[in-house]
Amino acid sequence: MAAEIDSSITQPRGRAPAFGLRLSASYLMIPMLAFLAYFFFYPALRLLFSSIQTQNSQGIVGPPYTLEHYTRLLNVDLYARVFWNTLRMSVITSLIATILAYPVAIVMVKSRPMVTRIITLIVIAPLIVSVVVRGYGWQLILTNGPKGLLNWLLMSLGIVDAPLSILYTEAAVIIGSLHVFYPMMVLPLASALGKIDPNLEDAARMLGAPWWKVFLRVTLPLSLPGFVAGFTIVFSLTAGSFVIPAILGGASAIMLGNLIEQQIFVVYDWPFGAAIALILVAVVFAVNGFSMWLLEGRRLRRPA
Amino acid sequence: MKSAEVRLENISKQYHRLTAVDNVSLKIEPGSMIALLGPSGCGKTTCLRMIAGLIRPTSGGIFVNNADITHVPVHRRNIGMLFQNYALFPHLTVEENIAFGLEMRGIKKAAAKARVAEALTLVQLSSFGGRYPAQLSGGQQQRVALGRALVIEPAMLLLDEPLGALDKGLRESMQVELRALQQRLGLTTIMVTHDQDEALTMADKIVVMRAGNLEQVGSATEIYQRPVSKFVASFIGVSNMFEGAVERREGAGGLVAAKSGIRLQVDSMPSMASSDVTVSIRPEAITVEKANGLEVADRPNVVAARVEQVIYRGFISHYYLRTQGGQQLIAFEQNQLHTTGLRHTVGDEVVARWDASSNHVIPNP
Ligand SMILES: Nc1ncnc2c1ncn2[C@@H]1O[C@H](COP(=O)(O)OP(=O)(O)O)[C@@H](O)[C@H]1O
Ligand SMILES: [Mg+2]
Repeated sequence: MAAEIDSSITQPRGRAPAFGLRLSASYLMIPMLAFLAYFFFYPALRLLFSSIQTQNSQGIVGPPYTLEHYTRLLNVDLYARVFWNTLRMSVITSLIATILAYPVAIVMVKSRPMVTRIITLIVIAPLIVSVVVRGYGWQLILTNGPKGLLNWLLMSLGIVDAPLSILYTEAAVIIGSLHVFYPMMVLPLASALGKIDPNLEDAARMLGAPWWKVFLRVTLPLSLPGFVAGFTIVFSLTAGSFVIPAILGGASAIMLGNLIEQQIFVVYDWPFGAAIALILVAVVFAVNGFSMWLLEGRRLRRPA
Repeated sequence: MKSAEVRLENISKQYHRLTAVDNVSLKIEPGSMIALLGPSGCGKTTCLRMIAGLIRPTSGGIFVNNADITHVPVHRRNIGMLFQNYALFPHLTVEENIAFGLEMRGIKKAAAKARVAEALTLVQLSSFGGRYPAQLSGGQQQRVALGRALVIEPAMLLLDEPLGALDKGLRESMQVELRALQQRLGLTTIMVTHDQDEALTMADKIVVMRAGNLEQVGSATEIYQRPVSKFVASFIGVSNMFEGAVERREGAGGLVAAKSGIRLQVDSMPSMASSDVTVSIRPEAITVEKANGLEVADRPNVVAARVEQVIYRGFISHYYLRTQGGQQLIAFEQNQLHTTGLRHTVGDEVVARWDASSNHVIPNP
C-alpha cells in the first residue's frame, strides 16, 4: 500500500485523478477488512495462542507455554490414526472424484453448447441442497441391514445374499464426500480441457495415436492444471469436512473435524482442539502451496 | 518415399440440411500437388478432413493406390497434415513433437533419434530441438509441424491453409520452399487455400470449388486462360466480362453481340445449346490508345471509352475505363522504364482494343 502511494506521488501531475481514485478504492475495502480482522484474524490468533498454552485442572487456559499438544496428535495412537485416516480418505476421495470427473468433463467440452449447459446444471444441482440434508439422504440409502435402500436393491436384484455394512465406515464417508465435492473437480477440469486446441488431438491421431494414446499423451498432460486445481480443492474440502463424517462415519470413521469438535465440546480441551485445527490448516496450506508450485512449474504451464 | 495416387469417388458430406461437400470425384496423380481453391465455406476443409479421416463422409469412397480407405481409422492412415495454427504439442519440445509419430509406430529410441535429427535438418531447425513451441516464431513452428508430418514418411501430405497465419514475405518464401521440398520428395500433396496466388505458385493442378461442388479442375494456365464459368473467371485474377448473344458462327469462331453494344470477334466458340454467352477478357490483353478521332464505328474488339481511374503499381498500371455503353473495363499495361509519367490520365478519351484470341467464351447456364 505504502509503495503504491509513493509511486503515485512520483507520477506526473496529469495522473492525479488516478491517485485519488486508488485511495478511495482502498477505503472501500475497510468494512470487509474490519469484519475479517474481528471475526477471523483475531479468533485465529487466539486459537494459535491457546494451542501453545496449558489448561489447568480448573479449566483455565494459560502459561506455561508448550508444544506438547502438537506432538500429542501424532504420538497418541488413537489421534494419529484419525490424522492419517483423514489424509487417506481425502486423497482417496480426490482420486475417485478425478476418475469420475474426467469422462464427464470431456463430454461437457466436446458436446454442443446446449448439452454442455444441461450437464453443467446436473453436475452443480446438488450444491443447491444443504450438506446436512444430503448426508441424511445418504444415510437412508446406505443404512445397514436389509431395510437400507441400497441393500434392498442389491438383494432384490440377487447381487448379494446378505446385507452389506457400509454406513458408519470410511466407504460411507467417501461416498458422501464424493457426492458433495464432485462439482469442484468437474468444473476446473472442464475449464482446463476446454482450453485445449482440438487440432492438437486431431494432429495426434493423424500421427498414429489411437484414442487412448491421444488421451494419455496430449489431453491428460494438457489438462493437468485443471486436475491439480480440482484435486487441491476436493482434498482441502474433504480434509476439513465435519458434517459428512459426523452423519455417515459414526464412531468408526472419525475425521479431524470431528476430533476437534470432540476436544472442544465434549472433552473441553481447548488447547488440544486448537492445535489439531492448526495442524489441519497447515496440511491444507501445504497441499495448496505444493499445487501452486506445480502449476508455476514449466511442465504444467500451457504456453500461450 | 512412395508416391500415392489418391482418388475421391462421389464423396459427400451432409450436415443436417447443409451439404458441405456435394458428390465430389477427383483423381490426384502420384507425386503431384493439387490445390483446393475457393471462397470461405465452399467445403475445402471438409474435403481435406474426409481424406484425413477426421470427418466421416456421408457417402462415397476414398481410395489410396486403389485401396479403399474410407473406413480406415485416422491413426492407421499414415497421412501427414499441417494445420493453419500449426497444432504443435505445447508441452513437448521440438524433438519430442517430431518424435511423436515415430513413438506411436513403436520405433526404437535410437532409430527414432536419428530420424528426428534428419527431419530437423530437412526443415533447417537442427539447433532448435530442445526448445518448446512457444519459444519459436510462427514460421519456425510451421517448419516443426512440417518435420513432424514428414518424419513418419506419410503416403501423402495434407495442408490446410498452412501459411495463412504468416506475414506476406515469409509466406511467399515458404510457398517456394514447400513446393521445392514437395517436388524433391515426390510426395502427393493436397493443399487447401482461398489464396489464388498460393494456388498458382504451388500447385500442379488447381481444383476450384464452389458451394460444395468442383467448378473446374485444371492446370494454372488452363484455369486462368480458359475458365469454364463466370465464377472461375472472376475468382482467379481479374476479368472483364461481356454478357451477350452469339450473332453468327464462322468456322470454329464467330461473332458475339454484347448487350453493352460492343461486337466481339472470337476465335473459338464452344458448341452449346443456347446462344447466351459471357465473353471474358483478361485486363492485360487490352491495349489502350489515345482516341485522336479514331473511328471505332462497327469494328469488333474495339471500343471507345473514357479513363475513370488510374492506379500506378510500379511494374504495371491499372486503367479503369468506362465505355460509351456504360460498361466498366479494366486494362493492365506495363509501364515503360524510360518514359516518365503515365500514358493516360483520368478524363482522357481513349480507344481500347484487343485480339480476337483474347476473347474467351463462356456459355451461360
Ligand atoms: N461441424 C460442422 N457442422 C455443421 N456445419 C459445418 C461443420 N463444419 C463445416 N460446416 C459447414 O460446411 C461448409 C463448408 O465448411 P468448410 O469445409 O470448413 O469450408 P472452407 O474450408 O472451404 O472454408 C460451411 O458452410 C460450414 O459452415
Ligand atoms: Mg477451411
